[in-house]
Amino acid sequence: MLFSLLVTAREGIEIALIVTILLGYLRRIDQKRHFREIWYGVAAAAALSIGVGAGLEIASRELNGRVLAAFEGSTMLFAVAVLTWMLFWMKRQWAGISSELRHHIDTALSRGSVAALALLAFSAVGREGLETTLFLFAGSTNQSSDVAFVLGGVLGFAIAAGAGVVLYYGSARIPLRQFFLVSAIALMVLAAGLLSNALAELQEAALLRDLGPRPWDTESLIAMTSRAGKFLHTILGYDSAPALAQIALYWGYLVAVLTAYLAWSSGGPRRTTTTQGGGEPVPVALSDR
Amino acid sequence: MPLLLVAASVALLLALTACRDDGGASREIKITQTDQGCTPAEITAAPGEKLKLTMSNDTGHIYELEGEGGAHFEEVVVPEGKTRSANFTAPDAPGDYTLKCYDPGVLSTEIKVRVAGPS
Repeated sequence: MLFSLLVTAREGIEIALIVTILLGYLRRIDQKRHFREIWYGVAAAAALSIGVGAGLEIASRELNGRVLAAFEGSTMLFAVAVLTWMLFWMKRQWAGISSELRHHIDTALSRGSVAALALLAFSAVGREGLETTLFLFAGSTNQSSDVAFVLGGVLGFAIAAGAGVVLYYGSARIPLRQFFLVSAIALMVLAAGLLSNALAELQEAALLRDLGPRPWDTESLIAMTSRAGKFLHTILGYDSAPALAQIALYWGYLVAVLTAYLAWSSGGPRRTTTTQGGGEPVPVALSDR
Repeated sequence: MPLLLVAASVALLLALTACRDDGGASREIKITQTDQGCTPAEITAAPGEKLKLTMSNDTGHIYELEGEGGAHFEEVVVPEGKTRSANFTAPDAPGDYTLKCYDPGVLSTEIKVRVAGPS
C-alpha cells in the first residue's frame, strides 16, 4: 500500500503541476475556452497509461513459472532504470518546464491548432502516466494484498489531485521543493528494493544461477510469508536470507544514487533553480502568477 | 505536505496492524528437497485441514514450492541450505491435488496431496 501510495502521490503531483501550468497559463492569457483540449489530452494520456498497465497485467497472467519470473525480473530492472533517470532528469529540467510549456502553448495557439494543445497535454502527462504504470506494475508482483495496493494508489492520486486544485487556485503554498526531495529519496529506497527483488526473480527464472553466499537468516524474526515480511519485501526489498549479490547491489545503488542526487544540488537550495533549465530563476515553476 | 504525512502515517499504521498472523496449532508436514527432488511423494489431509509445511532445502540452489490447480498455496522460495515454513489449508473437496517443487532450470517434482475423509 505504501509503495503504490508513494508512487502515485509523487507522479500524480508531477501531473498536477503540468496540468496546473497549462491551465494557469491559458487562464492568464484569456483562453479558458481551450481548457477542453487540455482535458482531452489528459484523458487520452490516462487511457493510454491504463491500457498499457492492463496489457502488462494480462501478459503476466498468461505467463507462468520461469517465463513469468523472467518477465517480472526484467520489468523491475527496467523500472529502476527509468525511475533513476526520471529523478535526475526532473531535478535538472523542472525549473524550466513552466516556460517551456508556456512556449509550446503560444506556438500551438499562434498556429491556430487546438489539436496541438491536446497533443501537448497528452505528451506531457502521458510520459508521467506511463512511468506510473511501469512502477506500479513492477511493485505489484510481490505485494501482500491487491486491495491495499489499489487503495494506496487511489489515495496517492487523491492527494495529488487535491494538491493540483490548491496549486491552481493558489490558495496555499505547497512546499514543492521539499516534497520533491523527500519523495525522490523514498523512491530511491523503493528502487533499491526492486533491484534486490529483481535479482531474486531472475534467479527463480534460472537466468542467474549463483548470487553468492547468504550471510544471515532472519526468517525466525520476520518470516517472508508473514504480512510484515511481505510488506517489508515490497517497500525495502526485505529478504530474510539475502545473497551477497543482492546486498551489494542494494547498498551500492542506494549509496551511489543518493550521493549523486544530493551532490547535484550541493550549492544550496537555490542552485537548481538559478543555474539550470533555461536560466529562469523561479522556484519550481510556480512563481509566474 | 501535512496531508501527505498524515496519509502516509495512516497507511503505515494500517499495514502494521495487519501484520499479526494467527498462529493456530496445525499439523506439521516436513518437506525436503534434495538433488533427487522433493519428498515425501504424497501427503494425506482431511478436507479443509490446516497444515504447516516446513520446507528444507538440502541442495546448493534455491527451490520453490507452489500449489497447482485447486491447491491454493502461494509460492514460497526456499534458499539453499535453509528451512522455511508456511501454512497450507487443504482444499474442502475430497480428491487429489498437487504441490509442485520447482528447482529453477534443473527439475521439478510433484507432491500429491490426497484429501479424503469426512469434511
